[in-house]
Amino acid sequence: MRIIILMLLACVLATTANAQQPAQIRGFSVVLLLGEQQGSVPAEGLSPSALRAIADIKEFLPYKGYRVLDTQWVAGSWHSSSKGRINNLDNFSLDFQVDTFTGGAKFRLGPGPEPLLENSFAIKPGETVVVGTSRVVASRPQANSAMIVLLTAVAAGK
Amino acid sequence: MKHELRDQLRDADPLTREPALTIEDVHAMRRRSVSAARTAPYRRNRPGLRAAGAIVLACMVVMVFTWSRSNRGPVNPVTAPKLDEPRQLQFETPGGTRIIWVLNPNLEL
Repeated sequence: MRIIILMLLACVLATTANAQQPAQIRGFSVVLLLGEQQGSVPAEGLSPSALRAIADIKEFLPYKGYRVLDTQWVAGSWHSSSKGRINNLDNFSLDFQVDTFTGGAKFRLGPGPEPLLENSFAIKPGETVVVGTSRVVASRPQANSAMIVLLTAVAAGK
Repeated sequence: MKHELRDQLRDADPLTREPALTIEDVHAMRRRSVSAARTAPYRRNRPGLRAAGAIVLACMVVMVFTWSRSNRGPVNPVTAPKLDEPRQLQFETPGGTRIIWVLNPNLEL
């Protein structure tokens, strides 16, 4: 009988936990990178989560250098919209916007009706999602550079 | 060939040469079975146990239903992109970092 009561409690707790909202966030850290065919990989000056993401993607993406163009922080929570501005090449700035829904975000970088990036994805508090864009040149795939954004959802209370 | 094998197996079976059980033995076996069945502890029907089992089952059904609903996303039709349209890829590194990559033929950095 005790085992059944314990199972019941476990079921109720699991159901309640699943029905609850995900953990809260208090904002987003945005790092704008330029992926290049030469240069170095940043080893400091960024959050541990961003550095870990760079260490992951350098094994995966065909770029040798990752130049940090700018970093920004915007406050935010689930079901909110946060806007900011981040420096691109030659101090040309780009507007960005993070619209959140429960457990996910829509990130938009760049002005006008045709932004550089506009993507929706799931994201958890503390997680860093890499959003990037590049051209495709079939004959010279190495000639490209890429615009890369590291978006980290900063958990509330951290 | 089959018949020969069957005959050989039958001939080699030692039970066919043993005498059958006597009536007394059969009755003694039956008596022991019946008395054993009578003296076995009776397992009472416990309604509380059944109710708890039903609640556990209901909880599991609710859990599975909630889980399946929370993991269900919108399903978009798959269409082939045009050559000059941006294409999006999503993948995950072995370290667990998710990458969303847009291949844009018209990108100017």
